[in-house]
Amino acid sequence: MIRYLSCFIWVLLTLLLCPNTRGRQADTAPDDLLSNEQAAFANAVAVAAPFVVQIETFGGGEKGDRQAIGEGPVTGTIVDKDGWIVSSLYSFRQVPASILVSLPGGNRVPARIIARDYSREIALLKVETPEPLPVASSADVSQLQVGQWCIAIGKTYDSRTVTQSIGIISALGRAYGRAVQTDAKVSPINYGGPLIDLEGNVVGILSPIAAAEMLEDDPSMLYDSGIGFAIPLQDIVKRLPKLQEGKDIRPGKLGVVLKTQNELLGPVVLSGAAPGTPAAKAGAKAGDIVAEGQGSRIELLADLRAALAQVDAGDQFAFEVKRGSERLKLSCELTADVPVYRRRYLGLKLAEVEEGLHVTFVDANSPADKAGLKLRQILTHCNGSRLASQSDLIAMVAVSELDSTLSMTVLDPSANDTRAIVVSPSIWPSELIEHSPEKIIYLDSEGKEDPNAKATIRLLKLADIPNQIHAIVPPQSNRKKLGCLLLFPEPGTVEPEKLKAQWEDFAKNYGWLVVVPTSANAKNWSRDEVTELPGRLIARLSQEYNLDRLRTIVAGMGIGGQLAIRAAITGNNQFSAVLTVNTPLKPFPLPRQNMPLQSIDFLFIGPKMESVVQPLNQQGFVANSLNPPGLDLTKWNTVPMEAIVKWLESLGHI
Amino acid sequence: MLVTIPERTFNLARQSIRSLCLIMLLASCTCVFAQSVQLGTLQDRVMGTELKTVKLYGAGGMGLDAYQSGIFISGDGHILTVWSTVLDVSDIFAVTSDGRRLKAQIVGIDPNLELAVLKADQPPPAFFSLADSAIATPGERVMAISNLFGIAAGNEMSSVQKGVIMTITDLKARRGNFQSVYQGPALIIDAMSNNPGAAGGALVNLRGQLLGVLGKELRDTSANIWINYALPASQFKQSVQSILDGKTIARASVARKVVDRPTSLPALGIALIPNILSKTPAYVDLVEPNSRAAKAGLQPDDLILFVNSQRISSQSSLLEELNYLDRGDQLALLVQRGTELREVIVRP
Repeated sequence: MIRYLSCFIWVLLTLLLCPNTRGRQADTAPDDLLSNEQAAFANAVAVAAPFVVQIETFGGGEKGDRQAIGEGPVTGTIVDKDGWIVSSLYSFRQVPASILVSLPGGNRVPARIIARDYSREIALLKVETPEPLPVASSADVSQLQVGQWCIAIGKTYDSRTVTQSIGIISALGRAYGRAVQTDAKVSPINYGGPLIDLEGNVVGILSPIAAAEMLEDDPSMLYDSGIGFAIPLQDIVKRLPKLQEGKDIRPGKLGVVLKTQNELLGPVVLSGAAPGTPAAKAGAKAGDIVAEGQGSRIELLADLRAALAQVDAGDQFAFEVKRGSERLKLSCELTADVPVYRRRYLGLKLAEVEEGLHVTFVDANSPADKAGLKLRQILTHCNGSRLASQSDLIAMVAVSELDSTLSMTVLDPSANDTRAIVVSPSIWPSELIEHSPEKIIYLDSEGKEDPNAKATIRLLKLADIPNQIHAIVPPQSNRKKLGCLLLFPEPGTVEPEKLKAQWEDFAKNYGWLVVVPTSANAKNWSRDEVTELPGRLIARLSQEYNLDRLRTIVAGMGIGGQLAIRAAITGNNQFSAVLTVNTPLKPFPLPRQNMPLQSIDFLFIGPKMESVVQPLNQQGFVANSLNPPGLDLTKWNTVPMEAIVKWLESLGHI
Repeated sequence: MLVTIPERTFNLARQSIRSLCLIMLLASCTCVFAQSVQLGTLQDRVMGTELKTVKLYGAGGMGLDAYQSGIFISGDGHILTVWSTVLDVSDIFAVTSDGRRLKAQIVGIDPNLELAVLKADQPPPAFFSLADSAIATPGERVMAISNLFGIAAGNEMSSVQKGVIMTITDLKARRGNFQSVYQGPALIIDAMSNNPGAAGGALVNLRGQLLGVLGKELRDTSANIWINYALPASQFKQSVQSILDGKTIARASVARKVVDRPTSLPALGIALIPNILSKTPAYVDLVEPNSRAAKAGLQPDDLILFVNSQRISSQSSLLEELNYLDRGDQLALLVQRGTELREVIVRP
């Protein structure tokens, strides 16, 4: 110890005796550094404080559109001396009965919402002011550096003093380029306030904006997490003239149908453009690869989203696609909404054969019937492209305009001639399709009907999934494309024998797998059981069986029906339709409109389902309800099995 | 003081002196002096304050935590902490940052600040002198030191978090559905400082001076979010001294009292529009002729925003507010009429 002390004293003496100023610096430097830093923060806050205002709202319901977060004051930032104030959309999704702004002088004045930017989640307010107000000046976002100091300012606790949270810029170009990210604490305490740099210039307006992968959740739940967002003031100021005219800004929609929904996969290959959308008008086609958007290179879907986020509905969007060996420059005006899409219909049941697609059924009075397509004909080409699989035709039909025609090359094997037939697709019929599903005849090795062909029942095991899962498998399951009915029963145990008795004929006659998971808890299903189970099950079954995507259905009995709906909505486009039997339901509009190749059909069995059907129809989905007389939902044998089978099999039509 | 510091801390102190010597030696020959010393100094200050905080263990169960934090405030082993269910045991265990396990008992409480003073059976490794505490300023950089989430065990040091004072404001917060007892000034912190176990920890400035004591977990009433805050030392200095002097602190009711003869809408001559929403705005539907409201000039369609500077967010908050106002009181209403704001004085 003495050694160290003596060493210490020696150093101290050296320093004290040193004639230069280094010793004095050493004594005061640490505190100088800290106090200099402190002074810099204080100066920046002093610059910003005058243009930050407190906003109080009265009435007008809940904050945000997702969750009530309290009704306290919020913050605003003055962007124009004549009384223009921006804030986060967080408090202004609805119109409050009254909005009061406390101006820098302490005066409380009423304010009006003039316009909203739904892309950047910003609201523009206006107050009348006799004298010019202090105005925020924008920082140049292109000069920002990740890691530099910034301060999040709010004015919610009282109308005279600001709150300040110090952090750094964590990232640039977040939320597809719409936001700057900071680790300063961002919450309802400062939403609407500015994020400033050390000069007091405004980097952006603090707002709970949804970034890439968190679109499902409420972004305000990230409050105070060290992940905060600010919308660059530059981008808001650029749009100020439009907002000041009272025009709302909405995200621009393009209307392309994508081959993959995975943001991180590339290249961005189109399955086409949804009918009537800007992309369709620009001439985007199936097979196009989007290579450039607004001058930026596009490799992944996320890049396309970022290019779109630079502009708004009503703006021109310039993009470039690769089509074969060509590169085409396309452009269109983006729209806030795209036309409601309804599923297209030809009225054909097809089987894949070597030459093309073999017609196995033609619905009466369907477009295919009217065009003269007949049983046992083979479609070889459509609009000049060879039809190697059903999905080729499905993709072309799905994005066809209603007044357009498809030219089919049709081979008639009996007459051995080829002819051209023109079909005009219609929208999918609103009534259930009338047809008689054909039963499969199973042949033995000698080509005779096999009397021993029977469906079997087996247990499926998935790692980390506690549910018991029974599957009823049709005979010769490896030879055919199979339908798949994932059925959530009422909670509780399931008797395999009963299950088999109920479904074996259906499975065998029409070639369906019927998969029935049992609830992990005997009393009820939990929401968690839907998050993973359906996707994992379908992925697993796809490895073993050849599943028909058109006939991959999720269904539920009673409460199980609610799980089925959730599975279909949250699923990754695995299910083409949902069936519920005796499920208590309230109307549930889907979080998205119907889109080509991402359609979900609905059939609800039970009383009073019309109110559930209607909003889905409005969104463009095919939805029907059935409530046949004599339906006793406690007895399975009163459930109209014949009608259900008809519907299930019609889903396989094109 | 060094005598009571056991081996581990002694080692730490020794190491830091050694590194300080080395740094100083190097620095006298180089120009990077300021930075190195700055780090060293801060570290020393953190070390010093960590030795002054203490981990407390007591009663728990029913989903409640059985641990919290405290600070030593005297060389005799007095500990200042928050008054909570953790203290509902006869012997509270205090584990010091140098790894000693002390027994502590309650000396006294302040029910208004929800603070308690304990006395440990051994002297502490170091303590805060309340007389030397500092006054915080908004924007000041601070450190919060506590055993949040009970991360520290045995002789492990408490956790240190950095932040700034976001603002200083009166506490308007609640626990569950209940308004917090203390509603005086609070230091709002931009660090995630108030988590389970943190209550009773220290808030210090970068000089290591005590600014306040971390409070219990509370939600902000108006924004409905969890807040991070500390009670300023200036608020509890006197009260702690009284407890140390053996005085009992009585409970002062801070809650507003419902008056004996509360006024009412009919008494004022006001009828509001039908209250059908959870937050129906307080729009005036009818004003009774010759009533107090009519004489004051209140009109149908006026939207009542403030009553005597109390914010009226909805009809229910207006009805609630009237309970605190006597029939004989004069009321100053701020109303919105069309796009204008007007003050309407309703006289008795």
